[in-house]
Amino acid sequence: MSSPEIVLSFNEVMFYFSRAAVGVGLPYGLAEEFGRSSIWIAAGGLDPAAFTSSGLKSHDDAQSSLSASQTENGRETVLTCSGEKKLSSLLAGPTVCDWISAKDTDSNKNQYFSAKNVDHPFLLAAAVGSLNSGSWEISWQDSRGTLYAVLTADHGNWKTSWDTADMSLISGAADVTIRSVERSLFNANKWNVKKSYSGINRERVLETGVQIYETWPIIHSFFTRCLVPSTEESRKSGAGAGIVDTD
Amino acid sequence: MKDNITKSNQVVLTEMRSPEKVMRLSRMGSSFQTRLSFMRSLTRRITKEKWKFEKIRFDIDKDGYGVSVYAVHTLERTYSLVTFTNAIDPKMRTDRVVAEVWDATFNLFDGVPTEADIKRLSANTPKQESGRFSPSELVMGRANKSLRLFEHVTSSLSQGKQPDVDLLASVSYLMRTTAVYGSGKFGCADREKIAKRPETRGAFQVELLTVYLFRWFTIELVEHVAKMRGGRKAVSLNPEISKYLGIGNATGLGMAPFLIKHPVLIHNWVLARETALSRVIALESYTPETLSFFSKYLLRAIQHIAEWNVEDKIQTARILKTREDLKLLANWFADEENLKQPFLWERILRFAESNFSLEGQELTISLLLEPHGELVDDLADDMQTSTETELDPSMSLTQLNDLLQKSFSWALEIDFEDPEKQRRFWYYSEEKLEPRFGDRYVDPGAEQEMPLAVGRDVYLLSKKIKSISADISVGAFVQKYPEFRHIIGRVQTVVRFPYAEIRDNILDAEMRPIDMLRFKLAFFGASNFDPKSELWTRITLFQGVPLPDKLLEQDSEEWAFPVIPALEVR
Repeated sequence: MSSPEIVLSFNEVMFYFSRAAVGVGLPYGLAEEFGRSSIWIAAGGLDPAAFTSSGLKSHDDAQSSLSASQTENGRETVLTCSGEKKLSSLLAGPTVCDWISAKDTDSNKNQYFSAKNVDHPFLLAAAVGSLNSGSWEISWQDSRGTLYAVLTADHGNWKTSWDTADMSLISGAADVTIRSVERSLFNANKWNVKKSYSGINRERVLETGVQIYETWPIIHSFFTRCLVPSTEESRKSGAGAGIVDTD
Repeated sequence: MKDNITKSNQVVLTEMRSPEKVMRLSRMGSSFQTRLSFMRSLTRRITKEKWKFEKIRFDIDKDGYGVSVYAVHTLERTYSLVTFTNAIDPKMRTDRVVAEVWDATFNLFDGVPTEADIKRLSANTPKQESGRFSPSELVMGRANKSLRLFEHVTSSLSQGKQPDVDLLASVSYLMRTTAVYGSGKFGCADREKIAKRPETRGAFQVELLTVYLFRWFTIELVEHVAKMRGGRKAVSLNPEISKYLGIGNATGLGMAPFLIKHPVLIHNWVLARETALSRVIALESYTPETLSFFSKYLLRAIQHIAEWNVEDKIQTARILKTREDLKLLANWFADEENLKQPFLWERILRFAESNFSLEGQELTISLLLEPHGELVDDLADDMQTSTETELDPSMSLTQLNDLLQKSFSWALEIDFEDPEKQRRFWYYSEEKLEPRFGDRYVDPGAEQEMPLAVGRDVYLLSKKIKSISADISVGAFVQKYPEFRHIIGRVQTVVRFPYAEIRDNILDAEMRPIDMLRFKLAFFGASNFDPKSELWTRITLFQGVPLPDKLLEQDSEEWAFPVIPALEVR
């Protein structure tokens, strides 16, 4: 495997990734949620840039939209993009999290959430995972009919229905369903052979740092849009201390 | 006679100073170190747990350049300060973030570094922000010499003389740090890695341990260079002078956003201090020991403030007023009639509140806490706890509006339609990500403003809520207006933490960032605030603290309000 472009701390993942989101035009509140999702991916030992940069690009290229409407339809809550574009996972993720947070713990377990034509379904799963709010199954079907699912559990544990971290296999817009599942499902036969990510892995990443590979320049490029070019005047008057200091 | 706590904690809490009083910039900018400051809790722990200090490596040439490793062995772990010192062009010496070279650069290493670690660090540490670090490094930082003092001390010691104490007092450090980064900056370990360790769980403990070790290094460095220069004629620094010398620090705008970004943490800092004060003033009686302790520290504080001289005109006027305040306090305290009444400590506070400047009042609070370690020191244990802001989507807009009216009236009373009320903005420069403070109507970059404008954002949120007739949920509202997600989550969270917000407009044309810096630095334990503009200040850290060999022998509480040592050499 090639060497990482850079190794970041979780704090830096939050700093660079949330500001990269601001760089593509997200309001700061959504950008913070994106930062938390990126940390959740990183804590799983995965490269967060590889999984998130396409979500930012999709918004930056205006292929996806933050404009959505939500309707209740019996047991189903449906989130749909207001226009012709794909629904940005950068909005869909936090919206699903809000739906989860607002649910009463005693509310009907049969209720579920459907987000239509989400540009990057895995980012929606990452948002739910970063909420760390119990057991949820996030599932979708790609254009070839292959089913994908992410199962979140307590203590930062989660599983995927696929065995590889290759993003090309799980890319593409799809309708995503999010439903509450029994805690016992995590250890059920159906999920036993699936790829598992343990909350303990987070401690290992704290010791090694988060390795970011070839998509880092995309994140960094969006991040730099938050910076203000330096001028001679701002250099002199806008910051602390003198240019030359002796005492 | 034993101190009596005659009021229950419940009652005490109701008697705490209000957030409206405490969290104003003018008062925050008048803060002083207290015994709850983070340097104080660090030195208490070092003494209590008898940490052992060891110089592992000192490969420094005759001019003071090379590499050194200084270790501290705590009860469970070892931490090592790895320092590189270099010759630099004096014209390149700046305390700013934009600097590219420094007299000294260093890391706090988690454990004892191997040769391979030191080789790796030697290629990165001197480059600072341009280098990269790993989770084995807990802290990264740099420092510049006080050229005047470093040379004077070197020269004096090399000739067998002690340095001029008055000159020492005018600077008070041999080197000043210009940045000390922890918490995952530049690849260093995240705070999460060390947050559960008993010796590092407190606020900023690894950063301040680094500075304490570095101060030890600077003393040994100057003695080494003097010895190389003077040979057998050279002498070591008088231990009282070593103790008096602190570490300087130049602090600029980078520190200010921290206070806005961590509202719950800031609440916990202030809550600890205000709880401590409420416990002290609830004491109906005093002991001879606490009275004597207070008397001793009042005299020390008088001398300390008398020796505090700066060039800044505003601060000089404040210092002069504080000197008068302390004279009044000394006179009040000398009147035996005042000591005969119950609730002495509360009456001292009320006297200060009625008669003193803000600096005089805050200094009095520091003095009131000083004799009461047994009563208040436990509060330092909770000063590092924080939590992220969290959105409650199920809340209705009516409920949210009620929260705004109840807890953010200070923001809603500001007229943000007045351009002067939001003239300033904070941003990151593309030049080394240096935090800068701009004029919205003159400077470029306002659209890249950092999200720090709590007051203005609350004002805009309130205005938007008023424009919506339906009482929808917050979840539905932020879906339609995601630009308010950030401020709503903050509002919903901090209403439970009354000391979380600075209750002033940090965008105001007249706003002085220096007030925010001083507030934070006082919680660190700094002294000798020496403002150089409204944007940055120099301070001294660990002044008066014994060096490692003596810290274990002495009472670690003996260093508040450091004063110029009385030596024969004077």
